[in-house]
Amino acid sequence: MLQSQTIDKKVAEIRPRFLRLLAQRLNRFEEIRDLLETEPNLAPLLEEIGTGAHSIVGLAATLGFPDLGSLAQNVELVVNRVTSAETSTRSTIEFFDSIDDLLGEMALILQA
Amino acid sequence: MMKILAVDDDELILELLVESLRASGFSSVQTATSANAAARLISTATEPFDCFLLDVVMPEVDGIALTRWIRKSPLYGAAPIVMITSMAEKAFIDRAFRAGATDYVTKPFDAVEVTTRVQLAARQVQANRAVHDAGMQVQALRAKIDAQHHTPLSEPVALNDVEGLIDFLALQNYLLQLSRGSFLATSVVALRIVDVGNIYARCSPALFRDVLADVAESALGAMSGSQCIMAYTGNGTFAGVVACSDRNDFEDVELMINLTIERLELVDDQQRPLEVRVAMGTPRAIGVMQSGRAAVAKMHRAIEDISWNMPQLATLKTKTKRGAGMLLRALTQAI
Repeated sequence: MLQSQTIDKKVAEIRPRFLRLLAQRLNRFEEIRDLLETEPNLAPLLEEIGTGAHSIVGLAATLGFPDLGSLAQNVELVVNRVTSAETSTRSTIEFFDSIDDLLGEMALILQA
Repeated sequence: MMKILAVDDDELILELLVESLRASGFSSVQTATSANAAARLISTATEPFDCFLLDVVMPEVDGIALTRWIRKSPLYGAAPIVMITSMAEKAFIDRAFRAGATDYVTKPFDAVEVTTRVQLAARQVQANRAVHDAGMQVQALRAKIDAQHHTPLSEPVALNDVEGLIDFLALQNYLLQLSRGSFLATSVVALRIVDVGNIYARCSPALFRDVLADVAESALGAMSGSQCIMAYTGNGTFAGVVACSDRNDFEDVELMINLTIERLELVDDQQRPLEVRVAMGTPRAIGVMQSGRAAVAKMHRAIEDISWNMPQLATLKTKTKRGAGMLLRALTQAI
């Protein structure tokens, strides 16, 4: 079997598992999105959403979801910026927009 | 057969990596989902690993700390370490190379690209092995010879204990991996020890290494504000990549390096004073339109330039003395 065929076969095998994990992540990210509006201690929530987004970046494009990958990367970068700059998260429109865009794309993929 | 250790906290990524590598003929691949698990595998391995593929961002201990830990082992001083991460920002790349990474692949990774990088690493391993196998036959003899004879002056001897000093090949890989945007504020610079042949002749191999390490530490200290990453290229010459494009910022760096070295009061094996002075070339801004290859070529030109434009030792000594006097006057006036 050619190298590319072997890799394609593995990608096809991994994709459904990735989607199952994505569904779990979507539920959790939606919870976190709501908590970010109310929870006083944001640090653990930011860490969790940053780590989750990082995991999506690693595989999304390779498995055929490039938009998902770049939206997750954007969330990861924004989370890093927010945590390192210690700016007020709630006032950062960019931050919530990036999470909402990612949640929208995740839902879209899972509906398909 | 090349033995590879792949480390990533995402099991799906590991599966895909292993399959991609196996499809390219690398069948001896072990995996770990954390830096701690990787450290255990490395510590208990009966046969050492030949190559490492490491994720940068992992919970608890990250890939950069793991790289630093691997490099501390004499067994893995020259082993290829390829970092795989989504963090394409320059700060992450800088940290990875400073810790001892030899190459870098950004996620989302292309399976073919990863295997190509590993194939390149495999060639390096084969070359290392050939040297090692040949060396084994004369190892005992070599230990004696090493104590009495130098490696050639032109060879870029490894100086593993200096933070921020990396292998010359890794420095070139680092430049190749930087984005064009990063080049806007990046310069390459070369510096060379004046009359290095004389110093080399007067020092034992161990002492010569110490002198090189002292010079490297002094230079990295003087350029610490410019996030300098440096490599020793042989012949008493160092090449550096600095986060700065303004030549004026480097005006006093040569003086600062030489003053630091002077304070160390270095001596040769007979305890006679060693006059070590460093000449620094003009930093060359890479420029935003350049490619990684052009940046590497620019670094090689910087190295050539400093080799052809070396000042006399006496000139540098006078310059250092005058500079020290001016600094002192400026300080006195400030007080």
